[in-house]
Amino acid sequence: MRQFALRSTGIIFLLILWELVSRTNLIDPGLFPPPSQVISALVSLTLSGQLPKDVFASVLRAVAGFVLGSIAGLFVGAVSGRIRAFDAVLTPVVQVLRPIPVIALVPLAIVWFGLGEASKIFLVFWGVFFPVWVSSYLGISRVDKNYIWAARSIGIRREKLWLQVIVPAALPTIITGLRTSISLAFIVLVAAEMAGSYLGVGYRISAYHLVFQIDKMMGYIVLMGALGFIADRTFAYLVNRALPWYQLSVNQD
Amino acid sequence: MAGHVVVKNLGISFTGKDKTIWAVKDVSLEVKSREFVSLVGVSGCGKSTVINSIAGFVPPTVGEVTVDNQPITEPNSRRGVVFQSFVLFPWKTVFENIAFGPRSRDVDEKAITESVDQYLKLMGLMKFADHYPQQLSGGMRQRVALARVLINDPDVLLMDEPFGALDAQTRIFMQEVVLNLWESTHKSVLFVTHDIDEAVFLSDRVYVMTAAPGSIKSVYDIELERPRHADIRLDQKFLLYKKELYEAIREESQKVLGPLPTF
Ligand SMILES: Nc1ncnc2c1ncn2[C@@H]1O[C@H](COP(=O)(O)OP(=O)(O)OP(=O)(O)O)[C@@H](O)[C@H]1O
Ligand SMILES: [Mg+2]
Repeated sequence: MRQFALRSTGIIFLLILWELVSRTNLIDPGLFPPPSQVISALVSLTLSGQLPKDVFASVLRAVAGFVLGSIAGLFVGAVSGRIRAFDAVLTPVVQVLRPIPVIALVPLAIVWFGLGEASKIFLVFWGVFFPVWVSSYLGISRVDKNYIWAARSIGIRREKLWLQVIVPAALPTIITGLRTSISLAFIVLVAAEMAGSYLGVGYRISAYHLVFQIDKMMGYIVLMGALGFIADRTFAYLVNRALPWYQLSVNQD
Repeated sequence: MAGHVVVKNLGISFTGKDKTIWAVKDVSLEVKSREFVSLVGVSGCGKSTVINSIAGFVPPTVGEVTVDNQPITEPNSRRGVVFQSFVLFPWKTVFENIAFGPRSRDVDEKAITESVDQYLKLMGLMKFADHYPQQLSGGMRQRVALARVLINDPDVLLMDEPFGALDAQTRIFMQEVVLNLWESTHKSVLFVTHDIDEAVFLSDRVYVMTAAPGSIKSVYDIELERPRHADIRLDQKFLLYKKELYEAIREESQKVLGPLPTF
């Protein structure tokens, strides 16, 4: 509780400072609306029903792209991390595509998939795939051989080795990759929605920019931050629930 | 009588980018059924490589390794391995670590629980069944590692500096744990250590290796009565064995480290 109070002071201080600075009229309040105005904009947008729809659309895109991209990244990473032939064929392909910044693909995705859901999901998928691939590839290919030796010498059969040893041993590395990808998913999503869409948090940020409604725009920016924060915390919570040993391993070594 | 290990003219090389390193040159040794044998030698002389080869992790480049006249082709739970760094599975609880072997063999769950409990009791770990290895002290971790291997009832126990990471008190305690276990179960044991005192205290026979690439330099039969107790360390014969071994090792470490510097 004390901890919480301490952590909040900084944020509250920032809000007060923001409020005071914009009320002094030193800066044009149209450009720099105070937090009270941003909050009231958020409230009215929520009541009108527009904001919940945007959040729903954005979260759905982020989740769909993240889940698909993670599954693909995990799978390709694991297979090429452990099986020589796949490594030889797949890894160079991934390495050639990986340096392309995903933002550079936004226009192409729109040309290919249109302004609807497909282009957004594709871009998030693309953005998430590579970091997850890297973490899965490294995690799986660098499993401490002592774990495998120990398991083999207590009698595990080869076919059980994957699920019982290799995957859990690689999990800490993989989890780090997944967590990085969550914030990446939001970055890519905003870029994709700003470039062209009818709905979504990123779309509103650019739309209010065009009509110069800075309070609403800032409201959506804050909202975006909140969504990223919630997603990260939810992920950490789920990991700690599902894998109680994970926290212990990370803290110790 | 199972668990008769024979290593004959074993040589193992590793091929790197531009050269081949011989980790072990010419090692011959034997662990008869139910014997306790130690292998000592300076760091890097190839002790772990010998253990890994008997375990079935690393195939011989030349020579042969057999257990009960069968050449070794792959790891098997008949040959249990205890590692210096414990190598417990951090994603499994103490209970699950110990149950790993029988579960891999699809033993029924009730029988598993019974025998895991028996080993938890034996090792004084009853209260820690649901802990994760990261929550245990070094001595406790090594007891879990030992239980995880013993539950498979192996013929041969291969121990690679199992107490190297433990403090002096825990180490002496663990030596007695192992000695008691061995006296009641009589498995064949090959025990790698740097510690001469430990080797003499535990063994029927001690092999000393030469510096890298290792071969067998000399062999000592330790004819001290059993069962042994801590106070045997003050015995005149015990001290004489220690002295002989100490001199043999010292010769080898000078080859690696050079003569003592003079000031
Ligand atoms: N997989 C490997 N690839 C290349 N060289 C290796 C490999 N394993 C061991 N060696 C080399 O073989 C030699 C013997 O190593 P080994 O680990 O068997 O020594 P050791 O006697 O167990 O040493 P220590 O007492 O320090 O544990 C060393 O020079 C080591 O570098
Ligand atoms: Mg070693």
